[in-house]
Amino acid sequence: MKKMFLLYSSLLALSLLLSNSLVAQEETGLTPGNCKRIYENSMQYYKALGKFLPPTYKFRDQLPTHQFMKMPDNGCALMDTIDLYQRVVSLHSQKIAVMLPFSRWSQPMQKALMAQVKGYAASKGFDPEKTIVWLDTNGQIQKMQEHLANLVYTQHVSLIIGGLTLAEAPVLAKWGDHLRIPTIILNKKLEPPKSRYVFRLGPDHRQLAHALLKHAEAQGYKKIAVMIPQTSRDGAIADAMVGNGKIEIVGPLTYNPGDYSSIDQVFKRLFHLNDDARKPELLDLVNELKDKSKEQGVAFDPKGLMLPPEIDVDAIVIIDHFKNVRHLAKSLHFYGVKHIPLLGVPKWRAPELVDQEEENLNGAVFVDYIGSYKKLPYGIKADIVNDENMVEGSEASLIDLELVVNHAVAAALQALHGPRLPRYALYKRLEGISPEDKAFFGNVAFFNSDHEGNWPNFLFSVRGGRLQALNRSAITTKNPAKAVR
Amino acid sequence: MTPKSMVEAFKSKILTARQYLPERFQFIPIFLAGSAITILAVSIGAWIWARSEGLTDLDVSKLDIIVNYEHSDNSLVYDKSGKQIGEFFNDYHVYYPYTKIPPALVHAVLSIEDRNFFEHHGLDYKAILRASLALLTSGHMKQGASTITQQVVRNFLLTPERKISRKLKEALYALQLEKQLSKERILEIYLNSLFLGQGSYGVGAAAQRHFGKTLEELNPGELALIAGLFQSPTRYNPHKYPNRAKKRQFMVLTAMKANGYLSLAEVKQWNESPLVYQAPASMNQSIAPFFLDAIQDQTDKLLDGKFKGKGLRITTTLDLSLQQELNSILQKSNSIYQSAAQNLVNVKKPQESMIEAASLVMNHRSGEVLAMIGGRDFQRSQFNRTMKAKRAPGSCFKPLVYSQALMSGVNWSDMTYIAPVVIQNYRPQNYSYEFMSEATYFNAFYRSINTPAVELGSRLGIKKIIETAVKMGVKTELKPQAGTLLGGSEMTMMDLAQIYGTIGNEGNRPEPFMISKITDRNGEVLFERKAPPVVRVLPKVVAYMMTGAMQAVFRYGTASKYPEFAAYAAGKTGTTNEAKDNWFCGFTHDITALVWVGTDENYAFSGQVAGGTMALPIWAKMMDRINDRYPQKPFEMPEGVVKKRIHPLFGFEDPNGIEMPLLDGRGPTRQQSTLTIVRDTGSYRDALDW
Repeated sequence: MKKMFLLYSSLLALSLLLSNSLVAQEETGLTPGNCKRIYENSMQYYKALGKFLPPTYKFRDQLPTHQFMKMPDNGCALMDTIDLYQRVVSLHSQKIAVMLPFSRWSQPMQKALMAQVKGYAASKGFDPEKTIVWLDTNGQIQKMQEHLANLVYTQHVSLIIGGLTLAEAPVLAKWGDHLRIPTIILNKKLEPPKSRYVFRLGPDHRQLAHALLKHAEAQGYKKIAVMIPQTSRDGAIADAMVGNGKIEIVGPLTYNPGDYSSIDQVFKRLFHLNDDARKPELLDLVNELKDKSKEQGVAFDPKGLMLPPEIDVDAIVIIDHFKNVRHLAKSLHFYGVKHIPLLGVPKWRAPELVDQEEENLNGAVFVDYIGSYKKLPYGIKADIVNDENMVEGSEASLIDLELVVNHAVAAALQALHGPRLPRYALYKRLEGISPEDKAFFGNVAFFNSDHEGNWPNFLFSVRGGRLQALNRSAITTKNPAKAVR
Repeated sequence: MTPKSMVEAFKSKILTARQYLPERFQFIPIFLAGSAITILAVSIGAWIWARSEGLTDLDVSKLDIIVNYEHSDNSLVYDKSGKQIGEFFNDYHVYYPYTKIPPALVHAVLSIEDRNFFEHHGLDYKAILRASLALLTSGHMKQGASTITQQVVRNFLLTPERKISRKLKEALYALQLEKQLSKERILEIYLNSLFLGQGSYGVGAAAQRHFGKTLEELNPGELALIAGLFQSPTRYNPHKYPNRAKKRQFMVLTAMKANGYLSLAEVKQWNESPLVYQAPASMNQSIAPFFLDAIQDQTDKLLDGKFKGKGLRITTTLDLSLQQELNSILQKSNSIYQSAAQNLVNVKKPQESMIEAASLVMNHRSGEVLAMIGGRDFQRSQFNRTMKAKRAPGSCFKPLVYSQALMSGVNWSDMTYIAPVVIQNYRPQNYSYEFMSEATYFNAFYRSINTPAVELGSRLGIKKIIETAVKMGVKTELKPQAGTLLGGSEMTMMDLAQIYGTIGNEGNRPEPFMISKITDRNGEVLFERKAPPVVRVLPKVVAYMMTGAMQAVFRYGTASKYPEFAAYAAGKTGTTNEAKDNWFCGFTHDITALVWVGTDENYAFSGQVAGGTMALPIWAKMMDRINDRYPQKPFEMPEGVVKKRIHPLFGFEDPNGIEMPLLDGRGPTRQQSTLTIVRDTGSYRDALDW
């Protein structure tokens, strides 16, 4: 065991020696002049992270990180502080850590995800067992930090992939930034990272909203309503739409899918179905229907009476999953609304959205972060339903995960590829690399200059019980709202 | 010669004759002449009077009415196994041939009415003499002298006016009648045709009406009472005047002793024996009054109204035992009526008696109506709620909509999103205001969710559904409006029986009938039902699939309190707006049974009142009894149908799902649904959403 440890230490030391010390000095920027600032901003975090190590953890002086733990508070006064610091931020084991809330998913899903990513890593010549460290955070910050301490002090991982949950993401981003460890955050809602070491990768709510708005603009929509459930996790999409500044947004109109009366209120508000405000019209309608009933020889039933809708929005965005969308689209008939353009989000995408035709859904457009399920990158296989645009719902989440995690791992593996760099310098590599699968991701880098992942968006239209991938020319058809009585 | 000269000549001749007689005998010629003239005058007068009264040319042919007498008879109604269940009559008759009349009665009648009947030839001169003497001595008529023959003549031919001419006619006719009929026949007619009180005509009817027994069951004391009624059935009516009747009975008994038919001891015995009168318990009102009412109407139509008093023998389809058991169940369901009464809305003084109920049982294979209860109390209300009441069937109409849907290619496993719907300004609600959920049509049917049925119906076309209803035998005109799809258009219970019967009869329309045969009393067949040609309305596979869904109503749906019925019965609850009508309609392999609970005034109910809580418990008890008599058989699955386990809500093939009958080769192709993820997690595609 001791031999193993010595070997491991020697390898680390060797790698450090091989690394470009000039680059290291430039990138870490630690000079006697700014030692105090860096110490405060970074070195203290290493010490703080050490507190997440188990109490029984035994430090070994041979490792720079361990020596670093013993540095006094006035470390900058010591001669070897700079050197030690450089060694700490440069040291890495060519391993990627993937910290995800595994235990929140089913066992088969966990296994499938890991198998898929490992398969991809192997296909790229990496030994997945040695290269990737899998850790379960269960979405808990404490657990994540304990894992992080272990990764930094024991595993000396090269890159960290994690922060899937909104709770973990900012904490991990902060650690990555302060510890100067290249970190890829997977959370969709995290604001663009403002750190050279932190990247965000995966679908982005803002980008999805942007894609929808762009489509709306192309259609000439001036005013659109946004509907969203009260407890939605996709509020960021609504927020992004509200703040767009180009198209007038009505809402977000929130509702409780478990209580139809709240939906009824939203629709009545949206379509101005206010009996008190439109009393003269209501009276006319009562008389009209009374006459009609008389003509037909049937009893007049005031319960069935409803004012015609007044539609002053060009489209309705429903930020909800396909099930509720189906109900809402169907319910529109009840309010006398037909053919109003509906716009949606990735959660719309399920075979059940289209397996029965719904008039109000025909022509609806939604945005997604996956295109054809037949053309998935990284060898991801999908259980296609009917055509390439649909997959069994039970697989959709797994494919999302596989795609995002694999994409992050692919980026990390590419960053490790080539001449060895100190750990902190790997971010440079991340900034410059591009996905191999141009068909899916396009000819773009993994990340843009803001360290935001370049993730493509795809528009789909519902037509005749199928999903049609839209291109620019295909989405120019206008489908004006029409009130029916 | 003038009349004056003739008188003068006569006087002169008389005077001349007188001259030859001794003085003291000279008055004789004058007397003789006067008598002759008087007799002549009286004779002429009597002849003129007799002529004017029609005595001189008595129309003997009038006696044909008596000679050819055919006794009136009640029409008797029998159940399917030949047990009597009722009778129709204007005048109540129970005919007894002479040979079957108890001798004691004959003795009693003869003793009090005409003790010399077998001796005289129509007139009893001794009796006339006795009566005349009695009249002379007392100055008023103490005793009658009319013979039985005279009474028969009077009863059939003459008016009851008290005139000598009528009396003479009676005597003359009596004499003539005796020449044409035997004594026994005259007595038979007498005993069977005279009014004896309480609506009865004849001794057999009187025995029933006064004692509630047959003639054979009466003892001599009771027979004596009946014999006493001939003189004045009203005056001696034992129900109204028991003391008078008792005295009259004693007179008869005494007369019997006087004529040697009874000993003194027997007179004493029967005089002291108490008489127990029993008001006639009308069979018509106690067993199947509503059914009989309908039978009477139908007989009237079948025979053009020419059946009253003809003694028809009407064989019906009623199952007497079953009817009696169902009567009992309906009567003993008071707790249900009480509970319903407590939930009446806007009724000032809710009473249990306000709650009405009706039930109909039919063998849909044969079309026989086996039992019919048109209301809780026939005496309170004779309105037959099974045939005449038009009520909204509510969800009991849905099988018709779904049958049409299945015919048009809809599959039970097809899924629907339950959202509010509007059709022609009709905005129906679901019973539990359930929206934003999903169901297969199978599930929507057995849970009786309204909006999917309305959507389907509207898609298929209301007119088409109404056409199918007509093909099934629905007679009431249904309104071509959206509300009809949820059973808002009123119809009779019999109409509903047609719908359920058609499905139960594997798609063939049942032809309900209540009369299988009518004969006259001599056995001559006047009507016999012939089975009509079979009319197929639904394909066999559709009927079977519909049956399967109605079995699921017991297994999983609105009747799941009674899962045991799912093995062999199919049914559907129906509740209209504000629970004004509460139904359960169902069938087994052979039998269709329907129950309705509500009010005649269409009152609304609140609370838990519904078809499942009011009508279903009654139906379940009834079905238990029906099963005792008509053993359970499984529904036979026809070719072209397969049973598959399907997820009840989302419609995919699911080993843990429920069994649905589907058209072979038309089942779902998927083994999963994304909807299960949403149901289990409340979200979808959220792995990146934490």
